[in-house]
Amino acid sequence: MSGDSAASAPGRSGARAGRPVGRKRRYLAGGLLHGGVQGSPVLRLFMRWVRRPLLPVIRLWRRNLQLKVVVTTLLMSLGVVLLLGFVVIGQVRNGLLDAKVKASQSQATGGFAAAKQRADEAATAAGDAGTPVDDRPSQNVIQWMSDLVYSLSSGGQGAFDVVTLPAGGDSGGGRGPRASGDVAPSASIPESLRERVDSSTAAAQSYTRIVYNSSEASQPALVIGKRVNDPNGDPYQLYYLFPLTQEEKSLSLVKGTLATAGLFVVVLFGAIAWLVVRQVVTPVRMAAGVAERLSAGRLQERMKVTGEDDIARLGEAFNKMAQNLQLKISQLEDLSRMQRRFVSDVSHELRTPLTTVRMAADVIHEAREDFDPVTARSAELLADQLDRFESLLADLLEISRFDAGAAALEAEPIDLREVVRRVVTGAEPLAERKGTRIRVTGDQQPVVAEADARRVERILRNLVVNAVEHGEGKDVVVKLAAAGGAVAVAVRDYGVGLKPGEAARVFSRFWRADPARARTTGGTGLGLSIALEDARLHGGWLQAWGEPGGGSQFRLTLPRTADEPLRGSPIPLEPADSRGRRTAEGTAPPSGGARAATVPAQQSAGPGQARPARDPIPPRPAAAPPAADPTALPGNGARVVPRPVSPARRQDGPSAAEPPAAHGDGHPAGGPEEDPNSQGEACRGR
Amino acid sequence: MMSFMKGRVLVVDDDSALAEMLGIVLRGEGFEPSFVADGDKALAAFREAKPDLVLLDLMLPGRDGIEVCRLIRAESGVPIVMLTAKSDTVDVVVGLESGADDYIVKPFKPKELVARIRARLRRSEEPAPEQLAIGDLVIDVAGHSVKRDGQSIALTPLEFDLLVALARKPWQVFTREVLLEQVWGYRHAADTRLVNVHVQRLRSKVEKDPEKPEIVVTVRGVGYKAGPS
Amino acid sequence: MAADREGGRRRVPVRAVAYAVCGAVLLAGCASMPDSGDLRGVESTPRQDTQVRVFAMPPAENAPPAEIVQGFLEALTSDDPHFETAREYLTDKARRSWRPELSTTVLADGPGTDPGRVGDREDADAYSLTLTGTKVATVDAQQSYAPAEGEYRAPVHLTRDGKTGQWRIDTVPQGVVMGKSDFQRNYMSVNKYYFAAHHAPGAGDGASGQPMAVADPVYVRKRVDPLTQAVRSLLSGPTRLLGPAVRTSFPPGTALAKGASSLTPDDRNRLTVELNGRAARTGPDTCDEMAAQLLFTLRTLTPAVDEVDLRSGETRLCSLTEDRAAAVAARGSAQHPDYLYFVDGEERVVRLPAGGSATRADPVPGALGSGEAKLRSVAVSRDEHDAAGVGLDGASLYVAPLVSGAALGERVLASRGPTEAERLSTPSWDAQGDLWVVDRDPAHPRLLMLEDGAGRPVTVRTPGLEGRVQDVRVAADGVRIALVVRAEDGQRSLLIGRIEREAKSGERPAVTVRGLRSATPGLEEVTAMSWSGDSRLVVVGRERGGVQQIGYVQVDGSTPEPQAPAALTGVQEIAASEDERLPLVAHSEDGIVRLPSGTQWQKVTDGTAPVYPG
Repeated sequence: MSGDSAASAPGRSGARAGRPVGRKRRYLAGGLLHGGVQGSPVLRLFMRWVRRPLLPVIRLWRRNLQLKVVVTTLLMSLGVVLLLGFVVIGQVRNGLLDAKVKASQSQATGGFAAAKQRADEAATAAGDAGTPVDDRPSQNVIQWMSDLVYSLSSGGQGAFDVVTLPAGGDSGGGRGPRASGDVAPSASIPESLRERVDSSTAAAQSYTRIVYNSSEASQPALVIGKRVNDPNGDPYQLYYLFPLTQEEKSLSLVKGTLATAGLFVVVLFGAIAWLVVRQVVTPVRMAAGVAERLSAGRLQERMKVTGEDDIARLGEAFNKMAQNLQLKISQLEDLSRMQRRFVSDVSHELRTPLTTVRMAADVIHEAREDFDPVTARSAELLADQLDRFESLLADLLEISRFDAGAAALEAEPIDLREVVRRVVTGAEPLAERKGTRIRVTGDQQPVVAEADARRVERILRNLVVNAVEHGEGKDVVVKLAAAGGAVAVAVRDYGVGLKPGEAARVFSRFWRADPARARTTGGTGLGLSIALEDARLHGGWLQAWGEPGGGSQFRLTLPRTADEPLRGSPIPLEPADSRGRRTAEGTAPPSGGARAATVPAQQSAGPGQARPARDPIPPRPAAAPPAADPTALPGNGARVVPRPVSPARRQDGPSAAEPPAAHGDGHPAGGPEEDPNSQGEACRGR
Repeated sequence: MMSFMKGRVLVVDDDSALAEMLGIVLRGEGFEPSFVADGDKALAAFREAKPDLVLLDLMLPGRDGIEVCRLIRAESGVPIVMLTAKSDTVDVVVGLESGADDYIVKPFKPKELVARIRARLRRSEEPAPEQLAIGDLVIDVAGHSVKRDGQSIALTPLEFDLLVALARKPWQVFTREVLLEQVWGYRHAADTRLVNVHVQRLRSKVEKDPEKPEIVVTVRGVGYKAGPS
Repeated sequence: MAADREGGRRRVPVRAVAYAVCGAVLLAGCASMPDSGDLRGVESTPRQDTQVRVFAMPPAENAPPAEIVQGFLEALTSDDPHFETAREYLTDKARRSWRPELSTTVLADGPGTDPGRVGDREDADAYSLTLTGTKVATVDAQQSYAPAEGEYRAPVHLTRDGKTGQWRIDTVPQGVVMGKSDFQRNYMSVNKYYFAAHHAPGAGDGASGQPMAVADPVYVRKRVDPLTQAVRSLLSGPTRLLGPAVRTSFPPGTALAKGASSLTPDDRNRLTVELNGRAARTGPDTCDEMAAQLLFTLRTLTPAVDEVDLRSGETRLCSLTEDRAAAVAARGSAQHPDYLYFVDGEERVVRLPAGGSATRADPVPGALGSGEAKLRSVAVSRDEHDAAGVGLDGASLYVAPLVSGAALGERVLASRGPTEAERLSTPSWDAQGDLWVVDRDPAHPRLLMLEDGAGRPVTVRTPGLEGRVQDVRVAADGVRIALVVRAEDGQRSLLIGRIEREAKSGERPAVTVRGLRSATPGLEEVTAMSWSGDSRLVVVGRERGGVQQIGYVQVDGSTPEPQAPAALTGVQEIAASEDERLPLVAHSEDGIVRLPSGTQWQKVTDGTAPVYPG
């Protein structure tokens, strides 16, 4: 709906005016609802700010298959390597720990036994000394215990440390903790283990982290503790702390090894993926490039094929396809050339005798006064019909040229006002005869477009002459406008108008609004068809609108530059003074479906009352998506459209108001251009 | 209308019926037609007849009309009007480029033909002595000569007329239609390609660099004008 | 074309194979254990400290009195720098009066508790007991160690705090008490160095004018900043035993500057010592001496100190490196004897290069080496210019220079002892070149000193000495003297004393040995001894009821180093050098044997009376 042509200005401006209001209201509502008025816009700004630098990356990601595959491979292999690493490290860790735990346990068990033995020995010695039992107890324990710790710990230099703690918390028996190797005892022994050792006589173990009093860094350790009795029989806790330094070193070695290997593996996978994808993508990119060049018309382009692999087969198939394509195209070109040649030859062969006949007839006609009345009249008739024959022949040849695709556009910037002026001047004599006044509006500004002046003039002459002929002596208005990328000329008459459905058919070859009507005018019946082809050749639109009794309007829309696609027209197809419009202001719209026929019709427009419904706002030329209807596409419309039209007409016969929906005729006339279908229907020019 | 104006017209056409008919019409209008039906003999006939104007059918046995046109143009600036059954772009443009001054599409009315012939012959009336300048060119209208730095440039009468038309009103931009009317004598607008082709031909003769014209300047979307003197 | 391509194709695999082989070789190199190359030094990783530490615990809530006492005693063995935790076991009053630094009592087995009187024990708010044990030694307030004997009993009284209801120690013996092994764990011996007081310029070894450093061992707590403790102790002056014989270069009253807390050498092993104002005006020479004292003292401590920087206030007094310190002051252990001397089978003096592994001894130049006089024992002066020999019968003492062709000369001393064993002992030279010898004549036992090894012998007074001197060795510093004394009961013990000389002008110097103290209370019979360091001797002796053994002993009587030299039987004489790097040499049943460090005893040759100079 991004229609941009100035034609939509009235409606559009309304819509535009409305939109900001709506947005503001939404903001307000959101702000109130979320309590933070600032939140959402700030967030959005932030998101935009974040996304902006990422956009090229995202675009690259979307466009680059190689990047995608390599990154995916890298991520996946990274994942696998990480998983593998975790598993292996976990197993190694468990293995190391198991061995360590077993060795430590036997060491500690031996130590506990030794401590018990020493206590027993000391107790025995004390007993032997014969000192009273209740005096003796506390005598030696302070030194004894220090000695014990020293001797136990000196058994394994650095392999473990020994700690004693008082049983039952820090206060047990006034005994202080002892530790070898600078270990901070209370910080290194977990509280839970102390409780466990207190509560049972069995040894218990736990993992902990040894904290040192010196500046040495703490390290993980296995601690095994047991409650042992001192010579006095008082319990104390004896702990063996086995630092897991070696195990940690081994583990970090394994970790380092795995990380290195993993890195290499990931890099390897990435490189492999890169290579493989490169081997696949390169030919694909080449194929894409070649296909692009083929589509640009360089049919001799081929892929380079080496080897016999799948890629090579793809290349061969591709090349075969291109070759067949080229063959077919050149065949078609040959055919087309032949036809053109034929037409050209026919025209020459026909024209030369015709010229002779013509001249002879003229000579005879000049001399008719000397003839008897019958012969004189015959001479007149001969001359007249020769004229008609001639123009018919010319038109036929023109049409056949279009059909053969031989028509070439010679576009250059022209001022349409000039063309219109010439056409109007040329039509002046006819208009005078008909009593019609031709008015030109919108010619204050230059209306310049890149166009083939000859063809445009032919179109406009056709339209103006048609309008004058069917205008029943009323005014004919030629309106020019330019806006956006388009220029338009609309020719408006107030004659009989178009019946429903006729708007689509006026461009059919040899079509006449009223078959019964006498061929008073000398038209060949091909004029509008040729005009339509001319318009299409420009990439422009030629559309018709009409209402019965309300006159009709034909509108030619051309792109300002030759290659630019049209997106809208500066002039609404339905004139502002249509009856439908006029009634719309007051009347409620009847059901839309019935109005449709009016859209393109020239002579008999759709029922006026239909229109208002659709058009509270003046008709907006629609930004019709070109793809809406294949028949509406430029280039093929001419041949396709007439066919659907005729059945449509037949169908319409009974109910003129209900043209086939498929062609959009059934849509309310008010917005013909809003509906791609109707537009496609109406404007063959597309 | 100007029945006093006589002229020799060489009709090159292989269709004997048409040639005879043309002869009838031309004689009726007071011209002196002579005929040749074969392209190969056309040049010899031209030299012999020394016509004031050549009517040349494009489709000829032997040498085709384009070739004949080129040969004649190589020898003389005599006005050549092509008769063609093909109004297609290519044929017409090729004909014009090979030196034809004007063309007329079959079938045509005798009056139209006569009008064209007259228009081509009209310029033989004596013009008033006049000296014009366009760009660095000096035009002697009466002497029918164009000089740059004293060097004479050979132009066909039509090209000369075109140049003079532009040079007479150097301030004015001529639309193609106006030029058609003034130089070719068309009442109604016709094929503007005539103008385009002849402007190209003229430029190829008078411009120093035809790619960057200075004498005949294109005014985009309108037409042509004379370059500044 | 085809050939080219084929060639190229063949070349590519060849190259690839070459690369692959190179890679494989490289990888194979990585994949096997290296068997050569990569020569580099090995950094010794310090062995993990296996010292046991005791962590003092504050008293528990509602602990019974016995636990309080236990906790207090435990806290005394902890590393608590100022015994703050131990103080928590005391009542406020006792906390104020208790002075832990006053003394340290070392008990053989740690303090035991002897419950107090019954009456007190039943008192709900008071509790008495007695700490008991067997004294081994005491360390006084000067941190000087002294062997001790006897029973240790100290009363301890606890009261229950009226407010908190907690038991606290009310009466406590001053100082610290702990077991022997705890003491060894917590304390370390440090030699402070002073200078010999009597040293007169121009005398003997002091020809260069260098003062002679004297070691003064003290005990400091090993874990409580021993470096700072040692420095403070050094500044506070020599211990009582040594005091009169030494001087210190620090002006009286010198101490660490106020606010100087812990001394730590920087990363270039330089220690900056800030002194108070008393030291501000010392001259550069004195300052160098001060620094040398410091350096010598801190030499054995870790972290090592290579340089001392003395400051007073903002002034930098001086700076001394270890290298320069050797030029400032002489130290016995820093002198390196050239030869080991002994008497060979032909009763002449021969010598061996000291410290070498040679076994062929050469006779010394001069008369003593010529076999002119049959000798029993020998002593060589510390400068190795002169030697003194005792004749085979022990009755004559000869002194001769160790110069080729020098005549023997007259004997300088004669003994009239009735038996060979009761005549002259092995002489000993001191650092000044004076010769000391003992005449064991039962009728007239004397300790004699010959100034410069000649002249009339001076009888050295030994006030307070009981028993007869059997042997003498003068320390290299010339201040300490070691005597083997035979008591009336036949016990031979080692006594250490200090030499005091009163030089009155014109008169013969009066020399006295004072402060004699037993260094080996445990040994019953000391057979031989020799100085083996600034403050250490090696002693051959027998414990009561034991066998002969060799051991080291500190001059203060402590035996800080547990490791003794490898056992050797039948040692009659032993020789050690102050330079501890030289091997111990003994005369045993196997002749002359020596003990290079880290090995077993090796036989050198036959002979008797091995001595190092001194």
